[in-house]
Amino acid sequence: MRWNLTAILLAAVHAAAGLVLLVFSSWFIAACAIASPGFNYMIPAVVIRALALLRIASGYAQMWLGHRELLDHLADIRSCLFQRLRDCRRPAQDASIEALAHHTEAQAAIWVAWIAQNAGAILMLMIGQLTLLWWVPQLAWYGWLLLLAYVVITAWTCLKSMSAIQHLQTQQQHFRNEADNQLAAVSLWHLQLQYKLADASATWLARNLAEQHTESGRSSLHLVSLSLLLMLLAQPDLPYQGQAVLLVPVMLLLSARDWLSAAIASQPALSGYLHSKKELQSLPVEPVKRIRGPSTLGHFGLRQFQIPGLPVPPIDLDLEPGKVLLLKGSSGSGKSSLLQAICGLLPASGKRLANHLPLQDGVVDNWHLALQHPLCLSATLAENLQIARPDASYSDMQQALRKGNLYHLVNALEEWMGQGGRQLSGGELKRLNLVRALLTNTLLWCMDEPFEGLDSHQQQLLAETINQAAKNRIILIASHVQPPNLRVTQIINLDDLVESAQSLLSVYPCLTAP
Amino acid sequence: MPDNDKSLKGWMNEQGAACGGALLLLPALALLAIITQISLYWHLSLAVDGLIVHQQIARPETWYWLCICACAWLALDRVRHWLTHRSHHKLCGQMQNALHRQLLLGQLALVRQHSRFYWQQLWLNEIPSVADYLSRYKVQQAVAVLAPVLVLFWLSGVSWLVALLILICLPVVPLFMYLVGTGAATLQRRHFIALERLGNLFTDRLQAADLMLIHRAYDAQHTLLDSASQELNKRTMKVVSLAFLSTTVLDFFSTLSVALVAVFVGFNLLGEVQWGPPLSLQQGFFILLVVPLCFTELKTLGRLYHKKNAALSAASELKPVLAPSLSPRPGGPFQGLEWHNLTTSTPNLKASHLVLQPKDWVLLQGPSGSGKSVLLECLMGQRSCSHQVKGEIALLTQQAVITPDTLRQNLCQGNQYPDQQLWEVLQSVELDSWARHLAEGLDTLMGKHPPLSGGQAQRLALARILLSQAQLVLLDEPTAHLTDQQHQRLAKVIRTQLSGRTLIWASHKALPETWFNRHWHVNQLEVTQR
Repeated sequence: MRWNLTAILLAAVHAAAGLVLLVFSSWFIAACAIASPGFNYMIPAVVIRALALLRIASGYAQMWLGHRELLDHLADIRSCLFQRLRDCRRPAQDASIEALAHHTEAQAAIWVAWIAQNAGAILMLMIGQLTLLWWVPQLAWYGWLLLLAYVVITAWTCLKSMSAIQHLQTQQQHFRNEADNQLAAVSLWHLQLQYKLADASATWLARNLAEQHTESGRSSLHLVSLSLLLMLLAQPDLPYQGQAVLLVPVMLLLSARDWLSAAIASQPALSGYLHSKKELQSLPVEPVKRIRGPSTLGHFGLRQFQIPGLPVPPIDLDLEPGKVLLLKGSSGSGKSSLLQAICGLLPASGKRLANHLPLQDGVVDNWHLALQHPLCLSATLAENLQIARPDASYSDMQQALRKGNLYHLVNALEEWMGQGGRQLSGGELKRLNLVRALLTNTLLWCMDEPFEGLDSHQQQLLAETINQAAKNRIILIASHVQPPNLRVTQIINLDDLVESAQSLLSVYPCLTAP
Repeated sequence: MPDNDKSLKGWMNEQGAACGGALLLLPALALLAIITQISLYWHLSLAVDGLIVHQQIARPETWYWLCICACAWLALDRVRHWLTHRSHHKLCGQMQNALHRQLLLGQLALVRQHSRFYWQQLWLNEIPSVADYLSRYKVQQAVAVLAPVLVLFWLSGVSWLVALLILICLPVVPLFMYLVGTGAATLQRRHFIALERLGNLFTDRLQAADLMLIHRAYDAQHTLLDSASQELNKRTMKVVSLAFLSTTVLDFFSTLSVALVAVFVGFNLLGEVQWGPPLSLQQGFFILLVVPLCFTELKTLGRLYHKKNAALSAASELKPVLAPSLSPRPGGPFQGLEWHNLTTSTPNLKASHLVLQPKDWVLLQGPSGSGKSVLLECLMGQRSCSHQVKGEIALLTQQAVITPDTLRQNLCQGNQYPDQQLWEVLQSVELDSWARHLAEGLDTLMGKHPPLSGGQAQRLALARILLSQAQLVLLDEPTAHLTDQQHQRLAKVIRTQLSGRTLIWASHKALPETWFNRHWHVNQLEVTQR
């Protein structure tokens, strides 16, 4: 806070020094032109050079300090946000993640982008008005008029940019939805003769509109200040004629646009700040409860288990260690959702049983879910594995990598993965996911499409590892691929369940879905 | 990579060609505005000279000139902004047209190369960035070079000495900025990998929210994120400390020029300094007002500098996407094909001889990844290929797409069919009893989770193809994700309903040999027929 205020003070000094330099210089020239003998010209000349140095030094210092504060502020905001998202689920779309990064930036930038600019403008207006009142009180009303115009124009720009940002958000969301639906249906485009793709014109227009508002604000201020200047020059009984101080109001009015336009142009930063604050406060997060499952698992079961919204009928199921359940079904049939619900990430109706006893809602700590789209964190390979078991030693990890058929990565534990480092292929990521599962040492595994993207040889190797792991745990696999050597003890086909439920409905129409 | 940057800039300039007139007019308008601004300063200095030295208010003609200059300045500014927005919008629209054209030609083969988010970003970020570069940055670049020339020309008429001094000083500014810029770039490169890795940790961990939730890793990752932020900020500040000097250099020269000109003019007026021609207050005041104009446009350019980098990275994404390589397929009825030496680029698929007669049924086989989909996409005209198929084609993909619209819209795909025909088609794909149980029949919304099994969804997709008039039908493993039972059922429906059309069926699963009169085999991107 202290450094923020210093940065703002420096920014205001920087802006004001420029203005004072210009006004003072022009006064100096005029004073020299009409100087009477004995005019001490050395002091003003020194003041002018001092002002120039002050402006340059404060300019660099405010940029440096302001930027450092901005970065620190950003780190704090992101840290707080991360804490808020702890053990929460939210729709993790790329667009919403980018929006979060953008919102935190808008929050952090408020000091540099808005407060500093407006503090500078206020300081300059104060200096300008006090100078007028002190030296040319009879012309001070020009200053008052300019001040009034500035306040009105700034308020107008501020209000306009608020509504502009709202408009832009609506347009952008509208476009994203439309484009999303169209791109998802790309394999249908060829069935239409004249397919009309999404048009982003409205979004661009909305973005331009926001800029046009600040430009209008600046032009209006320019218009006012030039009109006041012309009025002043046309004033028939203009006081202070023949005095150098007359140049003070002239210069203030002439350069008003230059010294106030930064503050007017900064108004969108405020509306961006307010908007992002609102968005961050109303962030849709669903806290997830954590529960500790029993330390040994002799039985796992489901009773009337169903996910609301999906066409799959309620499921009953019983499994013991050593059993491998294969969930089949076409994509979109709800395999992933079912696995996530079993682990407690998604809400579902019905009961989950562990050792024949019902479990509470929540994520079960000693059960594991291997996601369909495994992610490699931007980190070293070791850190990527230690996420599964924080105390894993290098030899543990190397052993697990061998079991997961990632022999070529055994000596790459220190290597950086992801952006700016080694990029893993889809098949490697699937195996990395298995290595993580092996490291967790959990009692129940839910594996979402573990074989997707692997060639048949790799599929068989992976299936063998799963067979080994299944000896002392329960494994549920959702997959449309079934490697021949995978020892499956039970199969559920969701497509068949959906259709049998429909045929039941057609025979007994009274059994309508809830 | 300066070489690459150069080609990207060249590509961006090509995009601006259609808007060329406006893009030339914009710098001209800006220069015109600067001329009116300088004339305003000239007449103002006349008025000020009169007020202070001769103690008389401005003469009417001076005042009128002031009014005219002020109005012209304001008007030119408005026109310039208006034209900037207009050309920006036009440039965006033109690039969007090119993007639409490419997407509609490449369709599935193109779209599936990137995420949906990526494509949206092309529209929302990349296209406007390139338009920004053309309509703002490049214009300002021209103005920043030409404005000092104008100012010097004017100044030389008033005081050749000041003009000469400025002329000597002016090239020093870009030189210093260049030196600082390269210094900062070197520093940036030294920290590049660390900055890149640390810079995206926040979004990376947000993306991995589920992973952290499953592994209870939030606290550990939080500590990591905090220390990474500190490290990132420390390194960024090192780079930025030098980069800011570039702005400071400009500030230094523009501020110092005002200060030195003021002192010089003042001393000249006092008679303390006798170099150069003697000045009047009018001339001195005019010089003081005009000299900063040498730097203001350069400062504006500095503020727009980030737009250039954004545009370069945008162009590197857009250029390959918008590079024309496909042409639309010829229309008319499908009349069979006999192709010799079929080749495609990226990936390089080959076939020495391919024959397809109307009403043929072709079984297309080959290991996964061998190029079956590539061949089908070539036939669809979605990839650049040495040959083209004439006539309408319909494709059934592995994954049935059911849009969240109504059942009717899902079937019709923008065309109009009578209800009776729709019900007939539903009956032929064995979905009529399912559809009759829907609450609102054909107008039931399918929504996010359509009430269909995978097999039913695929049969619905088949119904669309039955409605279409395409004589050539391509099937890209439509039963891959179905149970054997569902596979048999769908295959039978396809056999009975499509036996009258030409068909190429890529399949891993067993199909009766007797259905097919041709067999194509793909292995390691080589198509053979038997």
